[in-house]
Amino acid sequence: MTLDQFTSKLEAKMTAMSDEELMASLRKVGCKFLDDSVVESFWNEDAFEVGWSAAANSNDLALAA
Amino acid sequence: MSQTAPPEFIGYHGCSSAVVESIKTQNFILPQRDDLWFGKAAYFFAECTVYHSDEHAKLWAIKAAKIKGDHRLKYPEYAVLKVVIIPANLLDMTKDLGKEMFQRTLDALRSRRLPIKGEWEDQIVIDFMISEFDFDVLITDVYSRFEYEIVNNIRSNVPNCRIISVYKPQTSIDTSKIVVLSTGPVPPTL
Repeated sequence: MTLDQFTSKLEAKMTAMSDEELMASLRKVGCKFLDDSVVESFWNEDAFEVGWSAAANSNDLALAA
Repeated sequence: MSQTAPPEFIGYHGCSSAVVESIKTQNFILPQRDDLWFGKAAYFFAECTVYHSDEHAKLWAIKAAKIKGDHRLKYPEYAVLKVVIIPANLLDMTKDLGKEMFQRTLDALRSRRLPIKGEWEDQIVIDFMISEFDFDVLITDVYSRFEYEIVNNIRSNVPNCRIISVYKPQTSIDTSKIVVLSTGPVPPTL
């Protein structure tokens, strides 16, 4: 994908999405908004380390299944 | 500015030796946690001239075996896998194109003046790009703390490894090309 293609898609997406739709999409990737109830942030280094551990062992799930 | 056809990448994955056969037969199974750094992906240390990626994978597997505040191990033996990764839609944040895509996305999000808490986090913007533009592989340079850096509280803003995040292992990774590079006992906690 070229930069021009990406930019066109980005602009089209931003135009098509209402604020509510955009916020819903952002919430799916962990973004928090002022009106949201207080939730402990995952974006700290400890969480990252735990996350990596989980990723490194993702197939443990398959093994246990 | 254009992006050429995506080449193959070599990645190294550190894990328990007990899951190697599962990976080779079923491919990588993505974790469903929400607290992963760049989303629900299988993570690899990328082979490149700058970093010691296979060693990093080993260090990571050793670190992942340790339980904070506990001398017991999650697994007694680690393995390092060498994997060939073929992206269909690559977001390469180590290249100018990827950085420009990121900046334009960040600018577009900022311009909406949404009531977010705090500032736009890099991870949020990148995860949004992955989600909305269907990228299947992400490459980033990051600073990662291994056991030695954690024990000695060493921090830096200078990247020390290149990470490949794979979001669709079934199409990006050919399990027949997975090679077990090394295995060994997990040493005691430092």
